[in-house]
Amino acid sequence: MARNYKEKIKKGDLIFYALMLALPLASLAVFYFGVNANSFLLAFQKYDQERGAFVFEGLSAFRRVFDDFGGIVMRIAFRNSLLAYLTGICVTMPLGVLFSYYVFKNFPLSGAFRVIFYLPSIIASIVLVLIFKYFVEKFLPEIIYKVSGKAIPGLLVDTSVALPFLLFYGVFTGFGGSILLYSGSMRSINESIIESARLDGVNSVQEITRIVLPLMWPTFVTFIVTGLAGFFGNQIHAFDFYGQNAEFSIYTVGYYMFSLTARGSNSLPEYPYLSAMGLTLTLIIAPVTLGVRYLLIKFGPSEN
Amino acid sequence: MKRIKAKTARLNLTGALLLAGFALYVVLFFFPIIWSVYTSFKTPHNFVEDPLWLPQKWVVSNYVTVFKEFAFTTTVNGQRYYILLTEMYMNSALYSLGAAFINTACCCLVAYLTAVFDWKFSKIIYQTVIVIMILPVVGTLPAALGLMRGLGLYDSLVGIYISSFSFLGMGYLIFYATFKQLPKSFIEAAKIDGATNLRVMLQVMLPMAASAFSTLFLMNFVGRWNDYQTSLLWLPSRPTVAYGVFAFSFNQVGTIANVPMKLTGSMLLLLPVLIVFLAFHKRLLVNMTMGGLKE
Repeated sequence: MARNYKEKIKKGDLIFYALMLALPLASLAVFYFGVNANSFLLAFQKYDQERGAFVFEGLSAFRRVFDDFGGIVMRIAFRNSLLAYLTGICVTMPLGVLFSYYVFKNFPLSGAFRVIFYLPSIIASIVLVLIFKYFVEKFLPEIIYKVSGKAIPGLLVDTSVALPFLLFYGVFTGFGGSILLYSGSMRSINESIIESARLDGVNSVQEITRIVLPLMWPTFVTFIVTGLAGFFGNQIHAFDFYGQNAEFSIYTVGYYMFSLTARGSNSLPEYPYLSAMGLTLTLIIAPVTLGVRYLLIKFGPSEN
Repeated sequence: MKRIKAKTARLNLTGALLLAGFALYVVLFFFPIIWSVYTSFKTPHNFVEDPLWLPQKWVVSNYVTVFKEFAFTTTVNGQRYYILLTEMYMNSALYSLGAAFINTACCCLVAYLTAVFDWKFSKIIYQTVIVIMILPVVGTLPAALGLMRGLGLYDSLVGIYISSFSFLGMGYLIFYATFKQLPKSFIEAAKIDGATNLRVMLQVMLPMAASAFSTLFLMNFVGRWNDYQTSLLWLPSRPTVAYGVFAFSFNQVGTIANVPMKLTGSMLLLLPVLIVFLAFHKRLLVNMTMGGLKE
């Protein structure tokens, strides 16, 4: 009797479980696995304008990809993607940690700063882009002219400063969001560890470098790895600022691929090329990401 | 229960230096915003004469003009349509609310099932989500667009809703941690009282995750309201306000193609989200960790 009841419950559980999961799993099958399979197939096809359909072509899309990898545009795009990643790791991350420490220690006005740092995540990127675009294009040149008498072009027009400006803009609007995640991670540190270290005479710098940072290591691993995973997707806001009209000098791989995709039906002939490029880049970045993750976990500081 | 307010720490040298950095950030961040707000109240002529300082005369008419005249031109089946701002707001609301709700509910549902039913298949789903998040796959956008076109879901709100039935991402992990932390004794007690699995989920467990649900839904909604690239790629003939403002920012022709009007347009996109933020900032400002949400 008891066994029958248990079996009945299990069967009921199973039916409920299967019914509830059916739609999300179907969605996963179509929109993740289906899309990836389609992307793989597209890489070996070409768009037949007359038939309005994709037909198998072989490796021609890959040949074009490898030809382009040697060209100046892609070399610039790779360099800029690397610069954007390094800026994220070497500038945004340390700044985020430092300011999170301020919030974590509950120094004066930290509550107000939490709200302020959240604002860039709330305000639409296109709104912030418009505000800063006109500010550096209209306000800054005018004020510099009024103060020094020197006429300068807008920062986004001047190709020599456009890239540094975009990188700065990425840091400026990006590190606020990370503060919330870092301070959340810092809050999980046991207060007694900090207290006992204080009693042993540890100062603020030692507290950050010897206690807080090692205990936050898993959070850093997540940031470094997800940043690496998004290496080829980062557009450094170039599409927001310039749309389709960015200069080659500020191209990233992410911008290059997105701007080719975002041309509506005009993009269709480019789909096989973009898929072949995506597949090639995945073969580069996937092992790198997994390898870096493995090394960071294996050789990173332990909680002990 | 009365909330205990954390005591403010005394400022040391490190703290003072960081405070100075904070102050600089606040000035650099807010000054351009303040400049944009007052510029949106300038006449185009006033802006050309003086782009720096406060308006000679504050004009609200920019907002009325943009609201009336700001239109997005789209072509459907060879026919041209003009979409006004009111319709863009409607598109934004339908897209953001609908897709955010479906996506949050889907993450919550799958997280509930995999956290509560401690079976092998649940572990496989959990591991699949982790692997997909770690494993970078580049350049699948054209394939996704091609698939949507093939399924007849391209440029349709229904297509966006269907593709939102996804549980991949941080939302799933946060819900998973939330449900794992809840005691299973509630489920057992409800089942002894004769509750079905559906009742246990809807009336016992989900209310306990309501706080996480509302926070993640709000974040999802804000993200989608602000996102113009989805509309640009997937819904070109149903532009959202964000996409409209993006297209407007490159507009060079017409009476409203000037800086004060463009900044006015961006303020009109910002306003609803700012209201949501002011109303729910405590809910939005929770600390997020993979162990769940902390108020």
